[in-house]
Amino acid sequence: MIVTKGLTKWFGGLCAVNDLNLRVQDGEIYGLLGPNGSGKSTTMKILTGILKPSSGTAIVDKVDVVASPIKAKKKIGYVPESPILYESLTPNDMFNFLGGLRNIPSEKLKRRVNYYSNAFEFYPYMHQYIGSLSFGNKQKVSIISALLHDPSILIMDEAMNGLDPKIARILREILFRFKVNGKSIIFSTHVLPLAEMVCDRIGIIDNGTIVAEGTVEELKDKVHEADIEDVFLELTKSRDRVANVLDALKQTE
Amino acid sequence: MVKANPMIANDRERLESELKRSSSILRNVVFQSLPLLTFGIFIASAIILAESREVVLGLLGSLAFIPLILSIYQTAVQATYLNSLGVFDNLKMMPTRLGGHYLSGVIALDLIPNFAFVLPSVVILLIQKPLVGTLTLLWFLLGIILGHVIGLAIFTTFGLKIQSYKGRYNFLKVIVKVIALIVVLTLFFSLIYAYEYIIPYMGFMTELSVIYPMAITSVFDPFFSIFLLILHSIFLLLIYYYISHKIWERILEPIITSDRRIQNEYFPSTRSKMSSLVLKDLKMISRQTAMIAGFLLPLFVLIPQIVLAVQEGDLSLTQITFFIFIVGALTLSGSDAVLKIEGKNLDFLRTLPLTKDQYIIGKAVTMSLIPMILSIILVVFGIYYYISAILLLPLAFLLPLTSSFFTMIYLFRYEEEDIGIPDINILKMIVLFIIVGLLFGLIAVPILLLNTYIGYFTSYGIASILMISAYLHLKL
Repeated sequence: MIVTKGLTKWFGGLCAVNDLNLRVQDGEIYGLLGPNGSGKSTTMKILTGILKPSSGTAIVDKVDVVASPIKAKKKIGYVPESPILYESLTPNDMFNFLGGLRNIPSEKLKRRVNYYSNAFEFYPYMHQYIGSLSFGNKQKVSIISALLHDPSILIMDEAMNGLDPKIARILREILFRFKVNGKSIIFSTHVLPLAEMVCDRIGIIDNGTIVAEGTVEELKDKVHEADIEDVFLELTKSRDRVANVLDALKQTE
Repeated sequence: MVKANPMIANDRERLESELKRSSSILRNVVFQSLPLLTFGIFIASAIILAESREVVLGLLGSLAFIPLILSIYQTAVQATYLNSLGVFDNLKMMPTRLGGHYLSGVIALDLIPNFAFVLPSVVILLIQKPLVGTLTLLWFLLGIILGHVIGLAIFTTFGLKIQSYKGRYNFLKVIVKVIALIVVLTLFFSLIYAYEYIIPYMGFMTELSVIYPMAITSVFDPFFSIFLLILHSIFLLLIYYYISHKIWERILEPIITSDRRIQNEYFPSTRSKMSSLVLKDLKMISRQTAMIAGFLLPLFVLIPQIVLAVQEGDLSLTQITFFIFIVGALTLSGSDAVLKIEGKNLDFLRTLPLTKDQYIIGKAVTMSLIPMILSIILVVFGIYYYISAILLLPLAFLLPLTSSFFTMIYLFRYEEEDIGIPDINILKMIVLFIIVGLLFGLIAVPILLLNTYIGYFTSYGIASILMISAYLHLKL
């Protein structure tokens, strides 16, 4: 379970996350959607321990991220929005490094790497330097790295970026299996139909705070819209702005 | 650059203050120049006291070599670091050809303080003999530029190459790269060696002093010196023009070499946290040759001294001990490179269950390993002359570790619990050299005073106590 209470993050005079209260149940995929700069990535970075909150608490699997960061990091698998990887290592080196840092026994590590490499058709790249991999393959390394220690919490920031439809489908299946096994997943994406397909509940974040939360159907009912894109525009109060810009574009044509 | 350091970028207040601080170029240059200026004054005082022209020339010859080496080192390491931070990534899309000038411009700020080292000597000569002083000034400037160009060449040749697959003979390739680097870095001594031993027998071109840094000895012959300066400048301009074009081409499209392996299998090899961290760092260093240059500094200082001692036939046990102390002290020079290899990956490291002390001790061990190997080679070399040199083996382990642990204590004084990359500037390095110098002085006292087995064992005792206390301090 992931719980945040009054989570706030200030960057100087800018409030990136403002009194954020979240609750992601065990066995739930929670979609965190929001416009650019709404605070999604900052929230995820706080949950993973990269950033410290200015105030409030963040609990992952009963562990306070601020009070016990190492204990919390053991439970979390994180896929950042763009892969952060050691470019001069090979995926083989990278997985071994992670195995060592996360104390994964050799046999378990081998089994999991083989399992995910097979699933993501990754074997041909095992000894290629990460710096020379395509974006999609780097993303696969990033995803496998996040799953290797069998985390109870998965935080995925635009994890489907760069993946081809086949691999994206496989990743969705893997996420469902994680969910079935009682793990909590926070999933952020700008591809709204994907969020609709994958997530059990969705939270719309704007200006650092959750403006609406619920299942896709609940959100649709709330704003009386049938399409998830319209729901998003309505809840983030972007509909008028989008209409104005579209009008202006038409006029300049 | 400031924004690219995740440790600073993630902290808005610190980012603002760092941006303010780093935006004051003049303040930074003055701040970094002052310690070097102090050292320069010591050397300038030797020029004042010099009794003959030969002594002055000897001092200038040695002095000319320092800005050259500092420039090579700073350019190679800084260029690799900047590239690893991805500072060129956004510029690649620009419809302009920036060339290597942009990189030179960024690095130039780090090179200006090197001039402070030679400035006092230049001022003295300008007062005593204005023309000689002016020529000396020009030669030193040329030395800094030459070092920068060699550094850029190292970076372009080794730092901008992407090898797709880890080859079968990767280890051998690393060895070859290291040897190539040693040859470049010890070019000065190779020239002296050639000048003294080879060329007289070959009977041609006995005046190798036409090449920098020895060419600086021509300052008392102004016409010849100006001629040499012009020749050097033309040569440098041509090389720089070539490299600056090449560098941008390689930044835009790095050379990708493929040594494809048929094997696609995963080979697990799990280790402890510390070993994993150290092994990861060593792999990364060995695959970024420009970074290796940062670790070879002790070798560069040692080679001439060892060659000199062997030539004069007076290599003593005390001298070998002295060399091991030098290697130990110079361990701290690797701190910059060992921390900078993390580059923008620091955020990734911060998502892993790794504590600050594990990270720091891992880095300290990594930076000790190469000096340890060098010290062991020195001990083996010593055993060839005196079997009792085996007695020095504990020092080969204790001194690099003591040096690196104290370096890390000094650099990581910040209160934050998070792992990070502290700023390392010349002032900090000089303070570190003084701290390590004092500690090593303490360790050396029993050897110097007693010069017996008891002296050596007492020194090991002191070194062990210092090393263990530093380790415990880092651990707690």
